Amino acid sequence: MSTISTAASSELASEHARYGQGYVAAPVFGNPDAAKARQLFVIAAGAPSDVERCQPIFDALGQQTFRVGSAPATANLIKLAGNAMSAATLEILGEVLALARKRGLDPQEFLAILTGTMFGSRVHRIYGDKIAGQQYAVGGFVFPLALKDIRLALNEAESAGVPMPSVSVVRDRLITGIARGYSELDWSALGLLAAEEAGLTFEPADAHS
Amino acid sequence: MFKGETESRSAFVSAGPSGSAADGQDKQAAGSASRARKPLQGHIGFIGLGHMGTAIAANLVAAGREVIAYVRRAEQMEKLAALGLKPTTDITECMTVNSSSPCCPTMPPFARSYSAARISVPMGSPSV
Repeated sequence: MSTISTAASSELASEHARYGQGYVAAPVFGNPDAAKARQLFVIAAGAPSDVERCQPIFDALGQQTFRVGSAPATANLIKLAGNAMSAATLEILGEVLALARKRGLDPQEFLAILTGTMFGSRVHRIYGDKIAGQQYAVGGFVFPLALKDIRLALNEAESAGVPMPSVSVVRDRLITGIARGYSELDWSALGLLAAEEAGLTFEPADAHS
Repeated sequence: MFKGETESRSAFVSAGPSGSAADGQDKQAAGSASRARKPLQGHIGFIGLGHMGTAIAANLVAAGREVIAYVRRAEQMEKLAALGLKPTTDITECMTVNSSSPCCPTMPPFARSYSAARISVPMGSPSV
């Protein structure tokens, strides 16, 4: 269920096969709140009989399972692509919310318009709220873990001959965050970096106004 | 690259309550409709008790599973035990429980330690 590279997943699959064991890759989408509420999305790949055997576990921890074939690495590729997309989304959320703040707009009202019109995804709503409120909680999906996933995603992209320039920018942003001492902050603090770049100061909203 | 390259996209199916992958986005509420689940049987070995792993493991306990949870630091054991997990600092206990349950291997060298009869769940965040 870990977020690992396709190469590591394939190696695990072949090692387990060598010992007569099954291996199912089943990374999940969803944050710790979703995990607690059994609202995770499971992306599962492996031999059909092995996935079937694991299905009761997936049902106990998530709301939906997507079966994506018999090659475990496929599930890991999808997870890494999703995390790259989340990271790039956090970056652009940080940038537009910095613009809103700089021009004196209420970040929450601004965000409500975006999420209520064209940008209603979970990532926009959940992380947009954290960035608008400048609630970059300690101990969430911390920068070093996010950087690890983005590094793996960019490795996959390079292997496939696919440039991902916007994801590369986010990789550098994460390195910046770690260099500035934000290693303990959730990756929504990409919004903090965007605000700092705009000359804005850190002014967290009262824990939910 | 990996073996999935030749698989057709049509092989992607969803086993969840919401039907196809395409309409999963807007059916978050549907998950709550499938809560009448039969208790799970057998032990699960669980490795990786961070923010995500702890929440997931606790839900497996709530679903009726016995979860053997590997922790590196003994001081974590009390907190996990309070959630109904069976914490251990011996990783082999996650792989050698005498029952037919799944487990989660994180690194290739561990593969040989697992029993094919068991399910093991690795939830760590290795950088590979």
